[in-house]
Amino acid sequence: MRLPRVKPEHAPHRSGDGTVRLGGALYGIASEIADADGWAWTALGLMDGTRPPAEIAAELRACYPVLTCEEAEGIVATLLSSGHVEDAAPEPCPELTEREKERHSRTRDYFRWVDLTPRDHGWEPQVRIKNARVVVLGLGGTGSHVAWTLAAAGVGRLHLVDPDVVELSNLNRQILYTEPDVGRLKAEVALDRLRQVNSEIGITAEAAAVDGPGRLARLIDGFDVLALCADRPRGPSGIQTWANRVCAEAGIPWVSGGYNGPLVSVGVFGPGGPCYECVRAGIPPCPGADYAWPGVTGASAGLSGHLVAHDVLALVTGVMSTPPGYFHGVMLLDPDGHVYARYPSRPDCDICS
Amino acid sequence: MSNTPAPEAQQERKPRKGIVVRRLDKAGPTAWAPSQGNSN
Repeated sequence: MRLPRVKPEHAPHRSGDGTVRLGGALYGIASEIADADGWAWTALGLMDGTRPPAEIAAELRACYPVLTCEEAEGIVATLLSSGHVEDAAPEPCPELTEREKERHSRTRDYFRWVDLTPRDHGWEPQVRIKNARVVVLGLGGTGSHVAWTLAAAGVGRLHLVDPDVVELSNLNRQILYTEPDVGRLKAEVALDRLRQVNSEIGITAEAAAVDGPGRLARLIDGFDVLALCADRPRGPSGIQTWANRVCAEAGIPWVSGGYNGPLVSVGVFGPGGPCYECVRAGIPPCPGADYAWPGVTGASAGLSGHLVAHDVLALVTGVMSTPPGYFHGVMLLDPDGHVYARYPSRPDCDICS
Repeated sequence: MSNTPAPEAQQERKPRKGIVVRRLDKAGPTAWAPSQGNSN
């Protein structure tokens, strides 16, 4: 890191006992340092983007002669690796145009905030998003929100797949369609709409049904992530299981989301974690569980889609706190009921063991 | 002849001074607070 600077969203605060808080109040991001002697507070004050690490360590030692050179350098190194500091030196990023930088400036700010991995420059997550190739299978309640979010985020290559036409009853939740679109193919309308959202990315679409794992395998060939937003065929031998197997074979992660009334849940699976079938096998059977009921609002469908899109972006940027292999979600009738399920690989699983 | 340092030498070796960054997790009572300045 050339010119360390504390990230603005992580500005330090000091309490009466000398404890330094960085990153505000967001758990998973914020940190505390017991700093009765003031070493961290002083070093952080020197990290204003105007001096290199060696100079910061030298000034820290000048303030505290009790520290050796090695100790001062160690304190600086600890802070540089903490995730609270960025490089204020000019960011050479030829991979993005100036227009793209303006468009995605808020995304950059977001990842600067939540990404605790020290980077060469702050645009790295956006470059990864631009280089990503994602298939969105299904353009209904979940998939329409996924497709919009990924296009808006600047995913460089999107392929949209859905066999259906727009129906009036879709318009309570499917964000890409309007009344004049009723009767038109969703794939065609989605393509038109998303090209208006972001003309700088590559988007293709096809009105096709996926009728088996072979078709799905061909669909994901050459892509980095599958966003599975289709729910047919259902059941233990259905499309989720196809996705589990063909994505494992291709070595790519996949994300799937949906809603069971007020329960919105998303699964994130991929190399290095327990597969869908293993996690699913760990969930106790629940009589009456059925995802086939049609009740849904724009809010529940939107949550489903945006959680899927969030996880796709987490996978392509690498900014994620939990490795793949879990379900998570929201129970809208229970504000305290965030859903999370992760179970280990079964010893005899030929996919993930 | 033993290579073990004398007790006096062990006492003279001072621990290296430094800091520990402790990430807050959700178990802490002050680890989360709703913002009064949410953005829209």
